[in-house]
Amino acid sequence: MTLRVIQSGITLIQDHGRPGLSDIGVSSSGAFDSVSYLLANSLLGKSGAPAFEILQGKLEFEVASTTCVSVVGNAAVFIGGNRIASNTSFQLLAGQQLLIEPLGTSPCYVVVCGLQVDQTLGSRSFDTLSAIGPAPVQTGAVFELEHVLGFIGNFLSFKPEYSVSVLHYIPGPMAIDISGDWKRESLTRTGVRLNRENPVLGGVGNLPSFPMMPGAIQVPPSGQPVILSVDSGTTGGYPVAGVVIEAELQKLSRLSETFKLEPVTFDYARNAKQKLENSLSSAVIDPNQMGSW
Amino acid sequence: MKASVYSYGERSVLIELADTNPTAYLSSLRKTYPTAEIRSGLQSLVITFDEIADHTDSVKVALESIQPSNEETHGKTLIIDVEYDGADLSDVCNALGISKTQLVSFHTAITWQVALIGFAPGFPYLVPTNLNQKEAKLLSQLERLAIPRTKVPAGSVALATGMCCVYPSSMPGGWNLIGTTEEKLFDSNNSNQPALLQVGDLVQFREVNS
Repeated sequence: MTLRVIQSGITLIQDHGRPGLSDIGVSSSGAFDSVSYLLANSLLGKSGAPAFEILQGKLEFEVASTTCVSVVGNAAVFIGGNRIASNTSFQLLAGQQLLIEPLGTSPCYVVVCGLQVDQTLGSRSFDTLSAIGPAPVQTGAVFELEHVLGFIGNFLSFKPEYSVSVLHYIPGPMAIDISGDWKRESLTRTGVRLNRENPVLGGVGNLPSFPMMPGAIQVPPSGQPVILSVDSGTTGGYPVAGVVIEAELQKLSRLSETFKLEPVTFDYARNAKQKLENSLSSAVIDPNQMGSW
Repeated sequence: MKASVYSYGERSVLIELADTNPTAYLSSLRKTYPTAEIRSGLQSLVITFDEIADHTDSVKVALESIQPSNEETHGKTLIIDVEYDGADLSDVCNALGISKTQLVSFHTAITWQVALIGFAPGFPYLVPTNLNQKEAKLLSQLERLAIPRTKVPAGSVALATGMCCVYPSSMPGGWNLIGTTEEKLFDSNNSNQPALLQVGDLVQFREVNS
């Protein structure tokens, strides 16, 4: 059976990405908001299933056979025109249409049980920098849908913060002070461009290329930093003034228009990771213990 | 080894080397840190550990007993056939003050080593291993183009800032194009070995004429 896309908006397919291939120049890629992606899987009792990542506009599709779906994000969700709650898992019947309308700028994740997507280098993620992986979703696209069960009726005990106003980072390797208030100029899967009236001092121009990582805060000669994200290049030559802590990398996708960069310690990073893991492990609530249908 | 060590994010350190061949340290570092991820830069190394901590002090201590080991770090040797037909070939010859024939024999006589793969999947930064000082100086005279091309053809072999590269696919780029190869440097459908070259591999170019 199949799933047919009625309107696509700007929607990609993402999963856990391609970590560990940076030594051959392949970005880690994967869900821009890895936490919401993970929650969309957990709601259905899955891990690693591909998700639609809605970056802009609305996604609407129709299924030819009954399946289970989860939606995570700040969105209005409609089945056949009737509004249902977001951040839940539910059944979508054969012939029904599901419309997901994001209410803000943060990405929304939709997991459809049984959605068939080919892997490239061990992942179903589309890398916007190198165009590796399944092509962006197009209106009219048809996907194979296999009969796969999932949990329905589950909801979330906590929601990711939709408008992130503080990012924490470990300073270094280069000693350049980037702390304080910033405006985000642009926000894509390859990185966030920052701006403020007084640019950062101390950028030294180009260095011999060295390994980069998501979260690295580069300072080009302009003094207006760029925070690298999931699809950023694996090497670069601009000085790096700090790296966003790993527990907050997913927050880049939900960054508000003005925000603060705050340096933190290794202890802070360790605690933040522990706290995130704890929240995730108890995030999904099954109200009826109803199990699969 | 002579190096400066800095923390780089919550699990990694950046090692900036005084000399210019980080690949020589790869195998001994991998022995010292078997579970860590080790990546090389052009004049640097990055070690990523599992544990969140400031690893700079322990790495500084470990580095004191680490020596470069050139022989072990040479990977496989590849011969790459090139047709010397690049769009910038005559500009390069003029800039270096040599003829096309001289450029071809200069380029094919060099044993290149993959110092880094980055910028794009499978994109190798190749450094010369067997040049005398005068030749190295000559090669390093070539800057990147003032205005990068919006589209460099796939398989382009190019020179800039003392290094050579091969473009795995068509992409924007600012290196001086001297030739073309039909060799496929990156294939995302080949999950066993998507990149033809690995850091440490040696490359010898060979002239072909179609």
